[in-house]
Amino acid sequence: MRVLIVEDERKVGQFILKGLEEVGYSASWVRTSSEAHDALTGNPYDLAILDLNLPDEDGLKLLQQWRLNGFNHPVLILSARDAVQDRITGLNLGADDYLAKPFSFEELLARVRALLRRQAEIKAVVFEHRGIRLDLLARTAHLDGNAVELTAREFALLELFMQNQGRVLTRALIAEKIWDVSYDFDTNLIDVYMRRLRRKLESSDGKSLFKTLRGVGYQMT
Amino acid sequence: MRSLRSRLTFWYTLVISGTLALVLMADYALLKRELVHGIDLLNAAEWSEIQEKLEHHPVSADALQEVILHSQIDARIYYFQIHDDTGQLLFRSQNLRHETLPFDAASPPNRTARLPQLGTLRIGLFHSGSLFIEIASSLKPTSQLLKTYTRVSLVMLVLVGALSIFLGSTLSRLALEPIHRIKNIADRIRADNLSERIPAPHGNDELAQLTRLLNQMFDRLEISFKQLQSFAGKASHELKTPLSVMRLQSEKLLLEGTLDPARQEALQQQLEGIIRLNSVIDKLLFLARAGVGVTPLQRQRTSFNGFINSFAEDALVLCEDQDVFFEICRNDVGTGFFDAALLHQVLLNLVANALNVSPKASHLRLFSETLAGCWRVSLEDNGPGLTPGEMTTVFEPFVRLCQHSTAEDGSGLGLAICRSIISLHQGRIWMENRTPGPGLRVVFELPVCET
Repeated sequence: MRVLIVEDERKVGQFILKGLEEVGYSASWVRTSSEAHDALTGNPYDLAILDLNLPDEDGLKLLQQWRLNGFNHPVLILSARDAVQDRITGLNLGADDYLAKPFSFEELLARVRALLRRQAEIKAVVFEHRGIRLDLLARTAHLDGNAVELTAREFALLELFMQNQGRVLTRALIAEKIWDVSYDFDTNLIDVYMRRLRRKLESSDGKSLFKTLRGVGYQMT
Repeated sequence: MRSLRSRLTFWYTLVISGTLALVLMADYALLKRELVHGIDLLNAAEWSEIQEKLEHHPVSADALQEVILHSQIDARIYYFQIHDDTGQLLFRSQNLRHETLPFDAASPPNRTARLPQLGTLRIGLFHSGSLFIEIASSLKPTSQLLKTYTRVSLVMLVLVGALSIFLGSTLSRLALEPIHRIKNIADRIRADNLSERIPAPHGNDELAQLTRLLNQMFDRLEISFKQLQSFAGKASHELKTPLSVMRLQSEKLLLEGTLDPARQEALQQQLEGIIRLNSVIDKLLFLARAGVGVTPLQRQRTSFNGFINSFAEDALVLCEDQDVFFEICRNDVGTGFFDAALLHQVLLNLVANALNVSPKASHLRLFSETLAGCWRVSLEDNGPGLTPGEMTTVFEPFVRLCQHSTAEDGSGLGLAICRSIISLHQGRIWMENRTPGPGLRVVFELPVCET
């Protein structure tokens, strides 16, 4: 899988490049719009990570151009600008996902994987993990064969973790996927829901199902 | 009369009808004078006819006889009466019946008198030798003519009045149409289409000047908005790029798990600080943008009922966690046009604030009701309420009500954001202490969609 990173900030660009290479992606990093243009014409990429604040051209214009020229692979926008406004414009112009700075690398990785998977796989409808069975069609959850009552939000939350087993999900990602907001709640709503999920899904082996990573998010182990 | 158009129509009608009424009244006076003058001339003509005959009969008795004879010939038109210079009545024509024309030798030659049976008469007084001859004509035909004239005038006045209302209304509509066009376009120009301009009319009249002036104002507004947008964008970028690097590096170190516990704890605190700082930056930018109305809203027609149901699930979970009872009282049939995610955030914020001051096992009540033209949501807690001083500043940025709160953190921006979200939806939000207390009631109102 080849990933193109368009990011003018040296440190951020280097970090993403290194991080992606560490988990096995083949990545290239360019710093300007014209370099990005050249890179894309010469090489096939499966995904592009695009920062909107480029020195020579607005990232949104570059995105528009890519889409006009027939680049159909997923594009993940990365921006430090106003999340709501750019998010709407970016998604309207053909971006597939949006991540606001400062972001967690784990979250970037989760999104990159989801975008690449979206292309390759058929979505599963039944997930199983450590005695938990989640059926998306029947909308049922079972723990060691016993039915577990979940509210709509708890179900959606568990589905999100099941789809991203073993990955760290940041609070921002959870808020966005479950409540469709890109703001901080200023409440402990997510923590409360995680506590409830933990209580309901306490597994027989005594090991904790969700790992809390302070300041980062949660991970289903 | 609130609209300029109705005022213009009123004045137009008043001027046209008033002018016509004045002209008709002057005409009436003139006509009346001329008609009476005509009667005087007729009386005088009758006298000259009699006078001609008197020249052949200068003797007084003959003269009297001559006048009497003449009076009988013209009895259908004129009334006659003769006095001698001592004032004694010598003759009264028969058509006067039992009435007498008023006589005064010193009176002006023509005058008007009203007799009970004969009506209004115009009397000419003539003098020959020792005889004073009065010749009178009835003014009845004249007054009938004047009555007809008045009737026709009134009808004309009403017709012209109606016509001038129609014309005035049409003319003022035509005259004000460009202003309406300008108003409609100006009304349409908002933060998201600030580049639209009012098409300038040809020429250099007052409207063209007004249009140019308004367009110049929009130019300046657009520049200010762009500057603010650009400032917010740059500030955000400059602040968040270093934060990104800090976050990525701290996180990497933490996830590697090679640090000793003390360092790990310090790094975790640093990471939490970075996230909080980022949240404050986001909120400040939100407030700055909302303050000038450039925050994009994802507004959709949403039923109040469905929205409250969705929120209730979260509220219940938060309350259960704090051992507080949550109740909903509702009467909220209808739909609103709002950004559900933002309003959800407002309500979550209010509930979180209320929970911070709610004693265990107390009640938190949410009321959702549709009143005349608005949707009112209120949240009541059993906390200590607010002092009058706190009440005035509670929605200001960075105001914290620490003494009651059990929460350690919070930026002090939550309620300011709530207020700006409600304002962006053309609603209002306020707080009041509950009576009987203790407890606080937070209320917001939003407009209801017309069905």
